Amino acid sequence: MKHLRAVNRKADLIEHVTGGGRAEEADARSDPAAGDVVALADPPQQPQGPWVPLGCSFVFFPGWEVDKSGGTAGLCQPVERDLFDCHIGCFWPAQVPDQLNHAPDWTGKCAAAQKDWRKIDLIFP
Amino acid sequence: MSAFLAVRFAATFLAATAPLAAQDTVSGGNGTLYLAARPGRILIVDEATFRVTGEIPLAKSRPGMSYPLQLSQDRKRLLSYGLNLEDIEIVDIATRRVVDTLTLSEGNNKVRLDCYDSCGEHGTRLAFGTRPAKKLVDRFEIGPRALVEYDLEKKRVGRTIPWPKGEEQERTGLLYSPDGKLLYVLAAEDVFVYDTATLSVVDKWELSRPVEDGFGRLEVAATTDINDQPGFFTGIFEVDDPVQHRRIMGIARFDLAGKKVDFWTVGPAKPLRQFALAPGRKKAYSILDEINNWELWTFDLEGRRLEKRTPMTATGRPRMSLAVSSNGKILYIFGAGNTIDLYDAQTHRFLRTVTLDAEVGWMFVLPPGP
Repeated sequence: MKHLRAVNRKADLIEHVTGGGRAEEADARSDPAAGDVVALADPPQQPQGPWVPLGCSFVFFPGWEVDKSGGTAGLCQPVERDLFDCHIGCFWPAQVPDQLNHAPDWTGKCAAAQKDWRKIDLIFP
Repeated sequence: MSAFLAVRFAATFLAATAPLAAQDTVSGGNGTLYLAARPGRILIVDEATFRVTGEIPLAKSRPGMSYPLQLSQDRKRLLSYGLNLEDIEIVDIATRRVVDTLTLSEGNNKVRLDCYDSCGEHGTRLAFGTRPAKKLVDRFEIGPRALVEYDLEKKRVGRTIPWPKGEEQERTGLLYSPDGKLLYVLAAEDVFVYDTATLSVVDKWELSRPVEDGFGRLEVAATTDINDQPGFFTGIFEVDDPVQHRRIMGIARFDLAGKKVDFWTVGPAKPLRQFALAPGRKKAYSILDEINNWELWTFDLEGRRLEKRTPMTATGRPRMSLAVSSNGKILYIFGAGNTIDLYDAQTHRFLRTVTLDAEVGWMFVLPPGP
């Protein structure tokens, strides 16, 4: 006579593993990709995301900026700030004028990127 | 003053002042905010009204901003690091002006100052790492990294600090004890304690050993929190569980003089940005920075638990920085950009957004009074 029955997913899975229960449901749940059941002794807990070198951008791919998930929703905002500031904070050396030597004040009139980005100087090599 | 100038003068200040919402009755206090701002200046903001009351120009930070801006232990000076990483401007807070600028570069001998992780400072002494390079016709010749103590009165490097165990380190934190008698060198694994009179190692704190059985080691770094007790620092740290190899995060409080660390776990490691103590150190705050999931977290430090977490839906976007108002009632959430979002510290209710006329970076909230 069966006195206990599974009332949640974990109990259902245990029931399956120990010889009873709904096998097809439990199999689906035990799939790590489904994200429902994570074995404590089987790291990593979270699936690996895409590997993006150097934080927020690919240094040698100007204009192609991705966040740590490979998308754009997590990028630094406001986006206008990318025009001049990411070469300091995010190491984007190839895409801005040489501020230390040849164009030291090229963003000197730009206090806030969102409203002043048109004041950034055009620098020609 | 001509009418034109008067209008312009008023407009400058009003642009930085957002209208108060009718329901906004929570006050952050009567302190003063010092913000690193573009292009090359420190904005001084009255906390009660959020009115810009002054600014301090920083020649070495133009056209960007200080990188970083550091508050001295005695809270009387700000140290602004220049964009070329070769200069430090010393700002006297009382007189609101740059009183000294130091550089070790001379001609073709360039010396970068390693101060991003904060440099040690006490009285007239500054301790920091240096990265020298000599500019030759066709290349730069990179010299060895060193730790030095700079004398602000004599305006020169006073002494060279010997490397712990004689081994050059890539990154080190430097911190003077509150009385200035000891210098803590926070190396990759351990903390080395130097006597500042002789600059010899008098003690060592082996943090490479786990603070508790079953935990990995804590990596310690110098942090600046105006609400922390001098000689202590508190922050969020991650440890590796050696059995399951999972990252676990917790809050640790380091007592440098007592060589003690008090660590308690919060849960699985999450991408938290910033950690700010409330005045009185009973609460602390942080920002969860997951893509499309930005949350405000409150930690109850006495109860040793995560007290509250609230999605920041009103202004949901990646945010980098967090500061606590001088009375602890409001949280300032800012960076990147020229806006500061104000949240009620107790309820996490969004209050309003203050729009400044410049992008801001580092912020220090100094309470009223001397």
